[in-house]
Amino acid sequence: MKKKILFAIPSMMVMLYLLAGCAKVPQAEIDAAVAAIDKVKTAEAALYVPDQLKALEDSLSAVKVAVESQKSKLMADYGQVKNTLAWISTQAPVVETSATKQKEQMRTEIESLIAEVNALLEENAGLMLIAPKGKEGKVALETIGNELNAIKTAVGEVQNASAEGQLPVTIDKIRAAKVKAQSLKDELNAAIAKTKKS
Amino acid sequence: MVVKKNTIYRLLCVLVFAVMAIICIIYLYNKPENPEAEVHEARLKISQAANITGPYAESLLYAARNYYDSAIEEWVSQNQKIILFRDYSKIKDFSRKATFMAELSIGTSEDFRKNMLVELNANQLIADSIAIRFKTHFSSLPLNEEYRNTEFQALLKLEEGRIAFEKGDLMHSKKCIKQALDSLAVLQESIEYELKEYFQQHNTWTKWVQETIDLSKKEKSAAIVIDKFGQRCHVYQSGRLIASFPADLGVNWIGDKIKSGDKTTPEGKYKVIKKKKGTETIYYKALLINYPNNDDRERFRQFRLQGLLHNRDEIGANIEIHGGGGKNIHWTDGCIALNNEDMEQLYHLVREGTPIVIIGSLRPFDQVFTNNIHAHAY
Repeated sequence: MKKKILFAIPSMMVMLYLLAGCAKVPQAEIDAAVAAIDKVKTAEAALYVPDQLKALEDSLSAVKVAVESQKSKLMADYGQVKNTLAWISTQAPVVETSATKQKEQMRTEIESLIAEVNALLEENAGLMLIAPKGKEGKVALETIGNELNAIKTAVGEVQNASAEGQLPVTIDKIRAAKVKAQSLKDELNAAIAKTKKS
Repeated sequence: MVVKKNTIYRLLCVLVFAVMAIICIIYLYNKPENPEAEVHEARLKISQAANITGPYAESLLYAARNYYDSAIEEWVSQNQKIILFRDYSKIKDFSRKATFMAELSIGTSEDFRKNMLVELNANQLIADSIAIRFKTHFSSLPLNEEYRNTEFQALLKLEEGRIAFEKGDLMHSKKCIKQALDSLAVLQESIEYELKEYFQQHNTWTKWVQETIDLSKKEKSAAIVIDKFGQRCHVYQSGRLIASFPADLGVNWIGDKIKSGDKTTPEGKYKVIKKKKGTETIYYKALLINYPNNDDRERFRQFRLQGLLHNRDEIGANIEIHGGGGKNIHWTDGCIALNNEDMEQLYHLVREGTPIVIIGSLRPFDQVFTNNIHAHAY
């Protein structure tokens, strides 16, 4: 009996080593996580929720390190790796939704700014009609008219860029257009007020 | 037979045990140290660098990522070998290099960001000063529509840059401000080139003014000097300056009048040919001058011969110094407008025949346009 046990020990060791060596890399889960992150990237998460996307990518990167680390050991254990991969797969759709939502919010903001600028342009067009004309006013009005046209062009460019999805940069341009449209409105109002006083 | 079978079984077990023991001894003796710690550190540093660095030290971050990828590839490759033959030294080396590059990228980008903030602040100040310069020096110039549009587009870009700066998007801000500065610099160069061409007549203008003042001195009479860039109407009596009034000019006031409707105030030596008041003028009081004089007629004839004018173009007339001015903008069709009080004074200081010289500027170009914006750097 003793002899049998003595002989069984090396056999069990061999078995254990073989079993441990055969622990499989969770490749299917890794592929699923990569695919999920790719999908998140397609939703332009890099533009709208860069921090959340980075968290996913960092986790995937950690998974790759952990996998290789486990492969380097005599007895591989992919339990933690599987947990992280499960987190990635659960979190990815959340980030995707968040990116889409953020993009929509920005689009709405741009549309609202475009509407505000257009309203200002309309107001300015109205003010141009009642602004002091005469010979002296004509020159100033021509200049303002040209500037209003430039703002209209900028709005057109913003609309095109927005349609092409270039939202983050576009928003600065429309904000700048709003500032300029507002300053022209103030200029026109000041000219009108000056005429009323005199 | 039974003995033989047992012996073989025992021998086999001993052999397996011995092999296992040898493997274990060799493995333990040569056991390669797992490079996880180094790779993990490199990964964290790169992640940190990516947060901070952004676009400011891209090449360093790129290098760090390359080293990291090499480390991972090497690790994968080593792990494909039999455990006894693995060597992780290269992985550690690549990881340390990746960590070093990432740290360098963090340091560099922090410096870069600080420098960029300083640079952008400076560029914004430069841009503001240019905008102010345009407003003070060029806003009254009769620039063509293309120039005005370029100026406005540049100012719009500048505003966009300012908004991006406030948002912390320094790269976009830099791009916008640079575009605006470039446009304004090119525009300023074009404007200054044209103005310098115009100011080449400065010697002639000075000569005309001197001749007119000398004549006033000699004949002990009045003389009028209109300085377009100075926007002034100077009155001399017996060669001495006795009055100076602000003057509004034609809408396109730079240059010499060529034809009717060009809204340009003529340049040259003229004289008052009629004093108007009451119902003779709608602008309070007026001094009609002898535009076109012989020089104007000759120039008009030459332009027509050169095909620069249409047959239907006329030389124009009725250029006056009149009241109704003082608006501090150039608005007339080519006349010189003073405010009514100044016009009243002038009306009494001159008579029919009083010489009038109208010039671009009393001061030379460099004095009119002092600070140069070309010196800006970004």
